[in-house]
Amino acid sequence: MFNVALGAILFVCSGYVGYAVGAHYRKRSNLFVGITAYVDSLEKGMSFLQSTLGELTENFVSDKKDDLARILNAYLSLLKSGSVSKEDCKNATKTRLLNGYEHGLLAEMLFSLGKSDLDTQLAELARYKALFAPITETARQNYKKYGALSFKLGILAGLAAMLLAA
Amino acid sequence: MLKDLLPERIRELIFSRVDTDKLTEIRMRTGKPLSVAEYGRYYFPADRDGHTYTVTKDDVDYVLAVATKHSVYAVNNQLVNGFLSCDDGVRIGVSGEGVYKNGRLFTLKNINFLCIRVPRQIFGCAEALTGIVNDFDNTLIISPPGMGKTTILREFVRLLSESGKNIVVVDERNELCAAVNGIPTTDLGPNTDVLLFSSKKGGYEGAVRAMRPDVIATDEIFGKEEIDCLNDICRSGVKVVATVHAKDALSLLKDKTYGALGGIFRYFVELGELGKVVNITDKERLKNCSTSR
Repeated sequence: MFNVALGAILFVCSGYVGYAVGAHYRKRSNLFVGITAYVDSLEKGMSFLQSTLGELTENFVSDKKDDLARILNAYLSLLKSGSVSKEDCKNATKTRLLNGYEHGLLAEMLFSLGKSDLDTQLAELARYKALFAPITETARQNYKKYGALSFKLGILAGLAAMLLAA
Repeated sequence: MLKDLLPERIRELIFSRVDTDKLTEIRMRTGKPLSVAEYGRYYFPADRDGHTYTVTKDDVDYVLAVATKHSVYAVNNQLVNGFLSCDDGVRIGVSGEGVYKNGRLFTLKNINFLCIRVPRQIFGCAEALTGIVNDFDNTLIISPPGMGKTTILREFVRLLSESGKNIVVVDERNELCAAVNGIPTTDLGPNTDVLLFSSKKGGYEGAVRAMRPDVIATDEIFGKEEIDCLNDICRSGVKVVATVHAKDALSLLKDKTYGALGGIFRYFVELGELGKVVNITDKERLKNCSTSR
């Protein structure tokens, strides 16, 4: 009886780990897709109505509750507080979904926003979009490759553990 | 808005040591003491121990970040023209280094000098002009900078609007209207439409063609091109009320460029200190209606 219970626990844990790993890949992919969408929305909003950064960011996050929305809401609070330093941007963009380089890049991009004329700003955004493009593609492919696989492997490992325990 | 605009230490000093009801200007110069003006009289505010506050580059950058709402791209045209317009009609004059591109001023960098002007609506300050309201014709308000032209113009517009005239205010810098999201926060009367941040030339054309105004009101006429535009407006039968920087009407009309205004305006209103109307000249009657009020 104890072995059956232990096997069930191992199965659930293993399945959860598999799910969590899959979710990590999914969230990473979504985060980068979101960053690209954010940059696109900034390009449009800045070029046409020249709305302020706060308005554009607020509009973008208004119907979202994902990891990027959390980051951008923290950034919005900075904008509203008056001063935005590099350090503030680094703190606002902290997430386990990004590695050091990606974190630095996102913080740098947010810090650079709104500090130059329109042409320079649009060129900067295009540059960041180009820098994020390969990362986004890799994250998307990794999610495709490992997202569902991780869950399945977790389930399989759980079943194996359950059998062994039994 | 003014509170939000200022860095904490300056905000504390101003709101504890300055009569903010009389505050008309804050001058920030990097490395120099903070200076304020109460109704045009300048001094260096000091804390309880008598120490003045030396403005830092960070202070100036803070004000710029808040004033531009962290969106320089949206206000670069204003920067190029040497000002930033904030909510509630606060206008910031900016000075720094010009950056040129293809031979034209492209933007400003290293901005170290700010002149924050706080708008005041003073009801009743244009009482001396009620005679003009009753027999309205093109009116020009004249004074050197900082004498209260905009305040008088704002009140004059309100009086004209209340007299039933349709007025379009062409407010290039949001000084008259102090608009937030396009809606004026100052009282410009019941029959007033406003056109914000438009170039004067485009604004005049659009207003005359689309808004059917009786009167167009505008602040700070500058340069020959604008004078030509005003000529066009008057030719179309629309009246104009405007302000211009000059010592007095005589020196203005002797000027090679601005002398042309003599052919456009009928009333010349000269201001003295603190927006006091010191002289009204009615060109038609060739006599002074009022002196030393």
